[in-house]
Amino acid sequence: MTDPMGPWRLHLAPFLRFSAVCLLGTIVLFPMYWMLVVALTPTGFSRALTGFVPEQLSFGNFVAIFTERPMLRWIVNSVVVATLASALSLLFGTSCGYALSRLRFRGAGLLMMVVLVTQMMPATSIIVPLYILFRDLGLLDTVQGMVVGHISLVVPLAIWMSKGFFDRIPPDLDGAARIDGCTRLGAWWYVALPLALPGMAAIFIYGFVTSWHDYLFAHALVHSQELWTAANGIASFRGEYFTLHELQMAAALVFALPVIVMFIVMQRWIVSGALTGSVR
Amino acid sequence: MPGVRFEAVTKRFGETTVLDGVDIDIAEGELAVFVGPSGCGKSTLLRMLAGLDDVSSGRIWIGDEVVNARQPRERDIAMVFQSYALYPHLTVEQNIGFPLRMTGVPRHERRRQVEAAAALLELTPLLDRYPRQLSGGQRQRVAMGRAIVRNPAVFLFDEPLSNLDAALRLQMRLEIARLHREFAATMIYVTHDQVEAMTLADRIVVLRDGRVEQIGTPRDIYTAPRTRFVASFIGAPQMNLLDATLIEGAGSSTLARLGSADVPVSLARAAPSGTRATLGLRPEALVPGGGGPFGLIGTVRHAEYLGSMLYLHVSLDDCGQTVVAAAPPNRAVQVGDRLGLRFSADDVHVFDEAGYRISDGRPEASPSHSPAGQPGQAPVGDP
Repeated sequence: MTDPMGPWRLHLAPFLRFSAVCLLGTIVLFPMYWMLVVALTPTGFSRALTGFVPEQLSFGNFVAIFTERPMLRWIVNSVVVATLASALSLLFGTSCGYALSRLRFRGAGLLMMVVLVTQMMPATSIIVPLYILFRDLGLLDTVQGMVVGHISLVVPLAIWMSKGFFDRIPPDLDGAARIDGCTRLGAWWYVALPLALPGMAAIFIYGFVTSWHDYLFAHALVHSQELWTAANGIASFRGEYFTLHELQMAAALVFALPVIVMFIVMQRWIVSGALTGSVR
Repeated sequence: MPGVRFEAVTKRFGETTVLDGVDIDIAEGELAVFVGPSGCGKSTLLRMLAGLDDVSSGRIWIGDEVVNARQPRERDIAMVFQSYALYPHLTVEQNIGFPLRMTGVPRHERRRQVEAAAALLELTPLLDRYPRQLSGGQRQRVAMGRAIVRNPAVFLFDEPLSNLDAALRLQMRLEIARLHREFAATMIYVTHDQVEAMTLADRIVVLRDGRVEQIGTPRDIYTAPRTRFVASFIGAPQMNLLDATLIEGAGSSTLARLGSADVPVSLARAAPSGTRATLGLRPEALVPGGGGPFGLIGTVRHAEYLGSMLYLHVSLDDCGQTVVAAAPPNRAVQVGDRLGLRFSADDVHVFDEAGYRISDGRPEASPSHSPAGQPGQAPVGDP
């Protein structure tokens, strides 16, 4: 029996799919578009916008955030803190993850659960004890303190993620490497690590973005303006009585760029099928 | 090339004992095949020899040195894994040369040795490819190339052909046999495939539940299985095992009552009358309408034509058990036909209730130089 709705169904389904994609795309992308519009509007004129396109384009906001505010300094601080925090988290995470993946020892499962539980606690719940601890250790208002704080945010998931990546690498490869002349560390370095590169790239990006976006730790652990990260800097455009929306949006746009660039640079590492051919 | 010795080797995982006091002596230059069903501990034994698993107790010798505490890289062994375990991020050339690189062999010397190994295994055109670009058989050859390039004291093979199709498996089996001849190295080969075991081995080690059931040449194992398990595990189709009762006397005058037939059997030790026993008859020992002095009658339930052989599944009248008999392929037999099966008393294997061989007949057995093991005991001399 032929379906009378057949031709409709044939055309309707792709149309509905396309519409859904457009709708979702608009919801996700419009705030960014509006950020761009406001950033390109002359300072003080964003409230006068009546349409979806700026009436006149101005790059003055971008110039202002670099000349009148230490935006460059804040970006550099963010880059330093995020790079150090994600690199150190990667180092801790991969070494712990590899050990948990390959070594059999009592309490390994419990350890994994404890690591996961730390991730379930909101960061706000540990900020006060962390503040007191850092004050006693002299880490308040230092880049090192901020890096350590961010590592505590990233490492638990880095351990879980890297264990997952190493679990997917057949243990026979480590065994073969150890028979072929490697120590355990050598097997990790020459075989497991190169194969886990895509996963490590993902962990690094996760760590970088987490640290880059953090406002709570950066705000609570650092007071000096010269040590502010860009997240702190952007917040400073909001005053008690008024907010410089145009400058803030310009700063937010600049703030987003490094992360986008890093995604583009590192995405070639995040490739699937790296293990094809090793087994069977 | 040194030999290998397992001395009272035991392996426990928590409360579970996987290997229990295993004693095996493998001579210099010998190709020993460990065979047994899944979970019998054969791969664990190999991994312990490789140093990838710890030994719970006992000692493992390579040559005249105990290697229990030695790291895998210090044991002068090479291993071909069931999964091939090729390094996916390295080319064929880099894979084969990896052990040489790790031992600090200079680049030009490495290149020379890799090319020699590749030529031996017909891998030369594939040296620049990655494992993912190779077929299963090619990957297997690369794994073997990586093993032979370092010229180890002992080669270990852990079910290396189990992922290949039948034709390729035969080809690679011949390849391994050729390598064994050319290198004259001590080789240990683990498999659950009895055809591989029978065709490759100088000696077979049959394992079951973490214990050695029997050690012997393929001919020994086939013609004089030491236990009912070995009798049923080695041989395809497997040996027919029939319940019987020993009814008279001892030694060569013993009769075994099988249905309505009384079969004289020769026992290695006396057994009281009425002892329950299992008689073993290989399919090829049961000849349909043949000239043997003893006979069983039954009905053909199923016929399997294999081209070179016709296997008949016959339900016996006397005891109701089904046996498999091998007939010439051109024999005209229909399902439901009545059939008489003849056999010779020399072809009958007798096992006691515990499953140990009590008959002493060893038809066609060749003189053996090899030690053999009772289940769970240290190797002893041949019967």
